[in-house]
Amino acid sequence: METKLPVAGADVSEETVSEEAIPPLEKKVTPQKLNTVEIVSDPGEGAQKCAQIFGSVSAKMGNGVWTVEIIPAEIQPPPRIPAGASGNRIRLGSSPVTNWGDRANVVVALNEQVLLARHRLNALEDDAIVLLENMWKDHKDEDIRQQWVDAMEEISDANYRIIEVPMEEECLTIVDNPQRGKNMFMLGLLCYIYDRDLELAAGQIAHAFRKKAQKITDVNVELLHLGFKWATENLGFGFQIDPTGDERPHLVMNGNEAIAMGAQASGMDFMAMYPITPATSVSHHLGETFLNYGGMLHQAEDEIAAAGVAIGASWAGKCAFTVTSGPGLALKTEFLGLAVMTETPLVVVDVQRGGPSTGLPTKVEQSDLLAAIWGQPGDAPHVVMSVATIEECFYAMITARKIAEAFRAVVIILTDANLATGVSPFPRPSLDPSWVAPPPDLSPVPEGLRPYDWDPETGMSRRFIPGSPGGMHTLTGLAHDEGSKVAYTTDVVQRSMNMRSRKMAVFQSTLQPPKVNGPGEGDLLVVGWGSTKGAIEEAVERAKEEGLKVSSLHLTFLSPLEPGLKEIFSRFKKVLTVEINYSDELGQPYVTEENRRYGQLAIVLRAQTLWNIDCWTKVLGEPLKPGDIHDAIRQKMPEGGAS
Amino acid sequence: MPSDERITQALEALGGAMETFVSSVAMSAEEVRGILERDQGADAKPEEKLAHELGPFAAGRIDLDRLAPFVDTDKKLDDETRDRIKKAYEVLVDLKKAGEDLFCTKVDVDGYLRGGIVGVMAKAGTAFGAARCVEWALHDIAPMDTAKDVLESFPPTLWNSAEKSCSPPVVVEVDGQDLKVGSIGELMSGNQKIVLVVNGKAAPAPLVRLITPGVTVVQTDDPADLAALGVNDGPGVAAILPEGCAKFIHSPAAGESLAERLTVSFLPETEPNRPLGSITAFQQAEELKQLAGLAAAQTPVSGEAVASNGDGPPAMDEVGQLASWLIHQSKD
Repeated sequence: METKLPVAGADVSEETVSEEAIPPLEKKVTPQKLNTVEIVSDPGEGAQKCAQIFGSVSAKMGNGVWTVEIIPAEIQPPPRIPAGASGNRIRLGSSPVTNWGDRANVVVALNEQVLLARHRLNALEDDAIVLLENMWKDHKDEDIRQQWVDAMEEISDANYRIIEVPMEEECLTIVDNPQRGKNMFMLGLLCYIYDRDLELAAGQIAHAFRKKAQKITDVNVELLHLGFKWATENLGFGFQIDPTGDERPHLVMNGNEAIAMGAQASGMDFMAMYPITPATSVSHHLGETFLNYGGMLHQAEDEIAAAGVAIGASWAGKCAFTVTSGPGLALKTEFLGLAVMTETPLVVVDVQRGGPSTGLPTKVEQSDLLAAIWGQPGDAPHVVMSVATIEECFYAMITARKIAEAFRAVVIILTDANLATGVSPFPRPSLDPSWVAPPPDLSPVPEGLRPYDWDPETGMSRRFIPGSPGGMHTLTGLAHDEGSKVAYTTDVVQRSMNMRSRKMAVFQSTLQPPKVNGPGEGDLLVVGWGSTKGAIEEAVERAKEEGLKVSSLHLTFLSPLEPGLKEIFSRFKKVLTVEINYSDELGQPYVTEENRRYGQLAIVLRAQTLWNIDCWTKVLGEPLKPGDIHDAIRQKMPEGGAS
Repeated sequence: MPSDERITQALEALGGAMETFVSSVAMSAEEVRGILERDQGADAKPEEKLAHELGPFAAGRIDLDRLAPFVDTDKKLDDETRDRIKKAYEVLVDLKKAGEDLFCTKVDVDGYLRGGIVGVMAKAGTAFGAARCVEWALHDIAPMDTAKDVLESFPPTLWNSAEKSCSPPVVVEVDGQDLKVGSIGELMSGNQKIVLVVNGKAAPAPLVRLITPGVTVVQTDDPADLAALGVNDGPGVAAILPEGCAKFIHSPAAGESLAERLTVSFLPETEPNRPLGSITAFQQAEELKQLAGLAAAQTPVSGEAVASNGDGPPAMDEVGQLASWLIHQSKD
């Protein structure tokens, strides 16, 4: 393919002039409101660390930021294959960024194969600028040289501006093994292009390597400066993305860290878990902070035991929580039934990943909704809620704990791999002592009061904590009466079922109808849940700019459902759910109106509202793109709905 | 700052244990402050309080007017209860600020070693007393007088296992003639760490009496050896003695058998023949013999003498098996 810009690095390396003699190129800066950069490499080359630091620096400089990890499905794929592409996409904006966008404007790639992977996935803008390590072009291995030629040929149908960068050669001037240094060189390139503060970047590097020897930090900072210097002398272009103007102090973290911090802020100081991707990092964070600030993290022998330990701790007076992902949620179902039966408060965080079975451990899906709502054998009414942003991951934990305790209920929070590993800044929470769970109420139990003295109207009853004078009783997962005595009589069984279910009706009565994003009536209402909110709302905005009468609605409480949905739906000609799970499309072989499988929220909404709801869902192993949703909106507009 | 360099080094060696204790105190103080702050806002309307308790996530999603009747918000504390909690909070704050002095004491010549140590533990232990005091106040299950007592002194005999796990370390300056460690054996549980900084002459092997399978015991003249206290979880005691005394480290983490756990780096050759205060020469000599006996046990007994056959492990009689099992159990 034709290289649109001079092969700057190669030229420089061939010249004999000294470094000092190379004058910096005049930099042409293009202002932009949104810009997306991808950093890709083979696994282990540090592209993700480079991206994390770049994202953090950008957030600290006041930009809106949303990052998404690009993770190979295999843990250790062979080097230099497209399937092994690993890295991050970082979308920067001069206003808050809510999703990963459509395609990247700038790509830094450590070999042509990982670039090819992104090209094949249509992840790059047609005019994307590509900074590509050029060591493979003249590699001593003929096969590798041929792969380079083939890759260049394959991507020649796009109009990328490819800038070959001698990263290996440059890094060798500082380190013996450039594989462990190129990422910081890349960071230097990006700091030049996006005018990032080098001192801030150096500080982030020091933080990233804080547990290693000072020498490691020093070398990495040196590489950062080397990359920046090379860019100054060879690139001559950059992007200006103004800060959002939000002067409030912000925190920068991923969703799992936000879950962990939110749990601490809510006073939940006991978590039992078993490691599972992509949920495990919640425990990594809590492992450190509980050690320093109090709290207990229990890594159980398996998922089932983790649920059991959390239930035990909760029953003993804590409000405990457990974190898992789809396969783990499946294993916990029996114990969740026990928590419902014993009315023990419990918060369960399900960080959804691709399934079924082991599926796509590192990739996002929203396929656990039905399992979360109805997965437990027997009737086990409980609360299922979802979070849409990293900020919500923090605050939802506080609300969930309160609901769990107030209703002696199980509360499942659905988040996903997109939120878990993505990084985004949000205003620093101002901690409120009211969030913290008060000490367990060990006051004497009034004489005659029983552990399940359900209020016949509401099903609510006082939570008994072991140790409360007068509160001794036997806990059982068997059907029981008000006194927690095993009872199989028909009236007790029916009454206890009524009472456990009634609490959910009471809770639902306290929910407010969801707010419609956009006009309250129109041709199409797009309904979503979870992490797709930003992409859906961006797509709806684009559609509205085209004159389409489209609005969106994002649900938080999925069981029980938020009220007023039927009335809202009635104001639109068509209702469409957009989800990251599987559904059939009419027109596919053998798929008929009768056997069509719908998206999971669509199933729930159809069942609860009897409304004829359509769906558009994808299971690509990556977050939805606003452009794709926009296309779907156009396709799914009801007849006569287009302006 | 302590004037004796040995005390400074002892405090450094106990840094981890001090941090654990002070962190626990700080956490408790924060929790109690939260209770008091919540109470200050208890006059607010239930919906307003609920809005705070649910956090920003609930805003616009949950109707607080409807939810309020179903949720217990904090009740306003009565004056007496609030006063009790406030006193407990003040104790916690004072302890948090106390610094290293809280963990140090000096036993007067001819004084009682155990008394000095328990005094420090009882003072620092008022943190545990304060936490209990708050519980009692909230649930009205202890009279005011009891609460007052535990805020002044809460000795280790009253601590539960959780409290013992974050017990305050103690550094004691003591004269060699008062180093009667048998009296402190019962304090060695939980995570209790004690360093004895010994002045004047001392018996050659006084700490041998404290060697039990799960207790770290360090007798040395080199403060660098105190690092062993940080290596081992569980109780530990160390003494910095004058030169010429025996030197040994008993480290439970080093292995299952006594031979693995005990390292004797110096044994005096001459037996003591003069009393030291009320410690007779016989007692001193017995301790030294005991240490020498244990040191000898470090050398495996020859296979020929005890092995039942040439291939298998040494045979053990029933008493030996029982002893081994007991030692093993005591480590769990």
